[in-house]
Amino acid sequence: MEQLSDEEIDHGAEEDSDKEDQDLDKMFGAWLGELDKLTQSLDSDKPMEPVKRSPLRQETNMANFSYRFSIYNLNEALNQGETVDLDALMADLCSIEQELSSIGSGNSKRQITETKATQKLPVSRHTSKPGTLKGLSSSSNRIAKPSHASYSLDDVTAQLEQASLSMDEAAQQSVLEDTKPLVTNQHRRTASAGTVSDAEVRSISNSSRSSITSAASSMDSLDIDKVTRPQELDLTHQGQPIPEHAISLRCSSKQAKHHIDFTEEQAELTPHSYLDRETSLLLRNIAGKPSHLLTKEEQAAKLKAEKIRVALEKIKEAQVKKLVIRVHMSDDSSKTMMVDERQTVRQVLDNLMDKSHCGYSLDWSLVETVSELQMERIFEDHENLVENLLNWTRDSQNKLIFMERIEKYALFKNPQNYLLGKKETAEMADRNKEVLLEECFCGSSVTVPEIEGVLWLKDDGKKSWKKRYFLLRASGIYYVPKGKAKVSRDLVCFLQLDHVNVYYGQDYRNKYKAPTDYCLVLKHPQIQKKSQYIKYLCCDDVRTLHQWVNGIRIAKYGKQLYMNYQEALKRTESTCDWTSLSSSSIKSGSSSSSIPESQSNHSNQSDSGVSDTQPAGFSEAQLEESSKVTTSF
Amino acid sequence: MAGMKTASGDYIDSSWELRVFVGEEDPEAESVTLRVTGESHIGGVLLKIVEQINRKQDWSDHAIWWEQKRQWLLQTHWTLDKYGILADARLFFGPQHRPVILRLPNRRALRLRASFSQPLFQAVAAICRLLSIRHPEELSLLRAPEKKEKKKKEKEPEEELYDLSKVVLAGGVAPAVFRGMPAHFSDSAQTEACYHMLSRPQPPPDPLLLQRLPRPSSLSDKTQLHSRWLDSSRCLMQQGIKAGDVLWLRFKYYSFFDLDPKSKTPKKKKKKKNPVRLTQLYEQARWDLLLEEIDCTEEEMMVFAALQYHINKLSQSGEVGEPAGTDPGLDDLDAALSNLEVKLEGSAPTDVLDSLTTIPELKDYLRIFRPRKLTLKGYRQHWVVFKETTLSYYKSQDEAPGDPIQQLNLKGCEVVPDVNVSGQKFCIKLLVPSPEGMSEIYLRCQDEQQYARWMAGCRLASKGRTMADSSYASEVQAILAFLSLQRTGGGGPGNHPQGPDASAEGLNPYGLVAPRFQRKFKAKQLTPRILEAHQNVAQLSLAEAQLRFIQAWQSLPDFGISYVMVRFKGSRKDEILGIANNRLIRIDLAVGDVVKTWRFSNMRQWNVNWDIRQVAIEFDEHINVAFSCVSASCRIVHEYIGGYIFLSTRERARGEELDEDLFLQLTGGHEAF
Repeated sequence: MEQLSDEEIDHGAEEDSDKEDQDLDKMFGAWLGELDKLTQSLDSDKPMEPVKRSPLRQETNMANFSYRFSIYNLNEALNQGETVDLDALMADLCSIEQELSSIGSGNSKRQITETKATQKLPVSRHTSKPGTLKGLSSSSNRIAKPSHASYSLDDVTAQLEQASLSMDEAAQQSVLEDTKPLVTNQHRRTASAGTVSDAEVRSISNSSRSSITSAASSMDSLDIDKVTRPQELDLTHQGQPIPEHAISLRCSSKQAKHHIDFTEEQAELTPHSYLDRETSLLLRNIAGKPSHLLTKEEQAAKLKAEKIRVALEKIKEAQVKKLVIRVHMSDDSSKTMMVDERQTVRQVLDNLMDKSHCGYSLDWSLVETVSELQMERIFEDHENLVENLLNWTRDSQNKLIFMERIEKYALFKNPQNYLLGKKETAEMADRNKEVLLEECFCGSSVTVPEIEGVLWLKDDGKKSWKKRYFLLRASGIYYVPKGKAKVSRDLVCFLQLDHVNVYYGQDYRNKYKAPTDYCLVLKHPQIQKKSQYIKYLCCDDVRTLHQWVNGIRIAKYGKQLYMNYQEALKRTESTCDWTSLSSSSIKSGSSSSSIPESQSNHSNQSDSGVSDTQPAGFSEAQLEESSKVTTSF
Repeated sequence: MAGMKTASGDYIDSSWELRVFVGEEDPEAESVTLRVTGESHIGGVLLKIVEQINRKQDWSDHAIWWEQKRQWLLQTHWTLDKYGILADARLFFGPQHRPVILRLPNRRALRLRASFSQPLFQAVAAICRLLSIRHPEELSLLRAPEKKEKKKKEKEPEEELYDLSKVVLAGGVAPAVFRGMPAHFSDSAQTEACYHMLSRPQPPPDPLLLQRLPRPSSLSDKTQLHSRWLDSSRCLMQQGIKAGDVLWLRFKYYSFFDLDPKSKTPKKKKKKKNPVRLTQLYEQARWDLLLEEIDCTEEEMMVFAALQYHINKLSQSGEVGEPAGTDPGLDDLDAALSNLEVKLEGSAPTDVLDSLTTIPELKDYLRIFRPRKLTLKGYRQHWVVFKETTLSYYKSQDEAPGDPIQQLNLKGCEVVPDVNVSGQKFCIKLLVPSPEGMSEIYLRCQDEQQYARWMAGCRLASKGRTMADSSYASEVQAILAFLSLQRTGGGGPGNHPQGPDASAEGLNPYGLVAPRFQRKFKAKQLTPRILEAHQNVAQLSLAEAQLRFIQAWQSLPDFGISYVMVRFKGSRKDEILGIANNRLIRIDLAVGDVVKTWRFSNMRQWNVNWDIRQVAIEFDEHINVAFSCVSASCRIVHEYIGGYIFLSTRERARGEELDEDLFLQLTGGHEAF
């Protein structure tokens, strides 16, 4: 039964998205036109360009109040006929449109599609067509895990959830979701049933307002519980205390669906502590009286009051620059999504992890590849994504890749290999790792690891490489001039790190005749083409390369890097089972005593052990004492 | 009672005569003779002494010092027998607190009364309490270096000696704050001046004096300092210090707890009013750098110099408080948003909105120079328009509506001043990033006013802000003020070294950099480099600038290493042992290379064999290291190691209480427990 219903749902969604694909261009155009109209009505004296992408900032400096919005790589992708994750893009567009729909007149176009999408679902649920799990799942770009088969239902529901939430709310939502991963069972059940009927009722009652609330509630349930949902549906069949659900699943009359919607909304009223205040306030307003039960006057008055408030919100929102970006996955598929200029890489990563159901891991990274220069860089979690992407040129071949990279936080997993300046990799006890990290990052200033050694430096404009002895200091990278000793006063400053980022060079052995493949590049993030201001360094082995790159990251970002790591760790841990949490290495092993004993003896024995000269009790007492005092040494 | 006599005057009990000198150790001191028995308690003896002296005086601070045994008889309930005192004991009845002259980290001298009877750890804690320096465990006292005989008798510069010897603190209570300083400083004008000396950074030293002061020329020179540390577990008296001696107060352990005032908000208020620790630490760092105790690169020195210059300027102007900490960018956004809401309701007067939306621009004829390969062109006149964050230039004003020759977005660019006030040169060097690389461009302004306006615009633009930003006006003012500073410095500032006070007005770079940079660069070469570095720190408040200075000092690779000359077991030559807050470093004496590093976190135990002056350390995985100490006594090494381990046990939650027993356990041990 479980399996069956899954496939049915999947099939229904497939058909739906096929149709969507066909008239996407039309819809896309229509939307943009509407956006245009809406923004114009908001601010009639400012002209608006709906689709705009400019390489230089000054061109994008549009009027303060116009809606700014741009697209990356999308047209190109469409031309190439690649599989774009149109669903996701649609979801994003829906979200904007939804924001604006409350201001302008009703948006019939969208509602048609939504109804189309949603009407199919309940039908397909009851027609049994077994074994059609194919097609879209290949184009949807999730990293499929054995237990997490990718349902295209998710795409549809993602649309719904996105449609009913503004981008901002969605971002907040996802954060909140992380901190409260467990929603009560009862709640989940009602919500998952509710998505279907909710859109239905919207199409009937023509109130776009009510959809915000209930679809918002559907979001977490569908995202988190896609695996368990079938069971739960099953459970409702078996006589759970909500009779309406059982009815709704058996008969497909509109009446019954109405019924579900009603109960669903009732159920949603209370447990919205995880929604932000705005939304829950909104919720309360409308939920107090379900929209289709309101009198026309009441409805109108309410809508008017809401409109003013929401319009203000949206205008604030509209000032935020948004970017449609295309994120490539490690399996060569890609996903199109929308980011706003306030989002950090961490937030975007969280979004992506949520959307692609790839599981939480510290190693998920956004990697920027600069194809023209054959280099790549892992964005740091605290960086602003839009700011970085705006450095790309209009016709850029650069890519943004979402993939797992162990290098990202290897520094914190095995700090001994990076912080101690040793030549060989080594194992270290977890307790000592912690001590080491704390020492390096938690003092009043960050200790930059002492990294030095011979590196190859590429000559400007030539494919020749020269050896130089380089040193890393907090103030920058230095080298020892010829014929001088390695003392601070004689060092020559090679680069200061304020204005450059560190990149990994790719295949420079071919491109620039580098002595090895382990190259690092230092350049200003805005430079996108060959330039004398780009510095190329080449290391003898991969270990040296990683030591340098991480050393430079520490010197450049300092404590922020460690905070990023801890933040990421928090994310993964909060989504992990508690059992795996308890075994995580970071948490363990701080309790054992760590103070070396001090000994003094008056005897002539010099290398005596503890027990020889002192009563055994002493050292023990001291150990006890010290473990009381410290957790950190 | 001791001293029972028969009628004939013979003593019938076992009493004997005990002679006690009154006052400090002085062979000609007056003395009293008492009749005591072995069972007499010290308390009783003290009472008798006071009776015999028969002078009205506060004797409460006095105690008996036993010269031969070099110990104080402080346990009043102990008997003479228990102490083992016989008639031949030379006892002195003297004050426990005696005046000493402290040489502070800022090199100023201060007279105060220090405890000669408590272990030094406590004595330092009391001194720090008096000076209101938090975390006294990080400080300690050194003996003053012995003065070398000078061939020519140079005139010693008259030096102001601050006096706090009259000030007595009530024990146990945290000093209250009164008129912005701890209450005990506000008694008189003198003590108030003393507090200002403690809490405010000193002006830069006279460059000539700086050159004369001894500087270490090698690693072994750097070991000298560390041989002079006093022993924390013994009292000053036991270590041969006499009243009136000069002692140095220094931060000994380079592990500064809770330094950043921002990290802990509840304490912030208190710290603002109590800047002595930060200031003294800054001073120690500054002198470390100026006297080349620690090495740094040229670029780093320029940053240090710029920070010193900035700190000095702030402390001279008395601007100790922090500037208003509101973010102008945030204000603007709020203003814009509220305007928006007003507009939406339709009641806003349009001119408000206009003033908000019109972005000020700069338009003028400037001379522009673009350095290129193989070009002989110099500066050329162009019509330059600076709007928002974009700089465009045209051949002439007439062509302005058309396409500019070039347009540069200054966001993220580097702005470097190239100014010589006396030479009337006001250039702005811009290094503008673009997808193709960096473009370098020089703008030459005619006068200070023009320069200040354009410079301020460029600086804001590089941070992505426009001239509409609220900080624009203040930025212009700051640049003008800065230029006037240079002007009053005289033609070619610093060419003739001035006194320390004169440098307050102008910029004398020689007082800000270590002497080897004085030799390497001319003053007029140094000044622009320091100014260039200064623009990055110009917005900092005094405390922030000091903190930045300390942090930059802490991130030097050689920071916090105390050098001791040792000889490792089995080695035939002397080597250097560096002791840092987390590790021990074996360093080659001749070359200065690091041979081996051991971390304290791997340490299991360490032993000191006092008889053969050897320290043996055991690390994890059965690594054993043993060495004998050459330049300093092995107890200094022992105390350093124990001290660092003690400091690492400090925790935020424990506040400022100290576990003194643990400290003494870890660092003491000369006497067996």
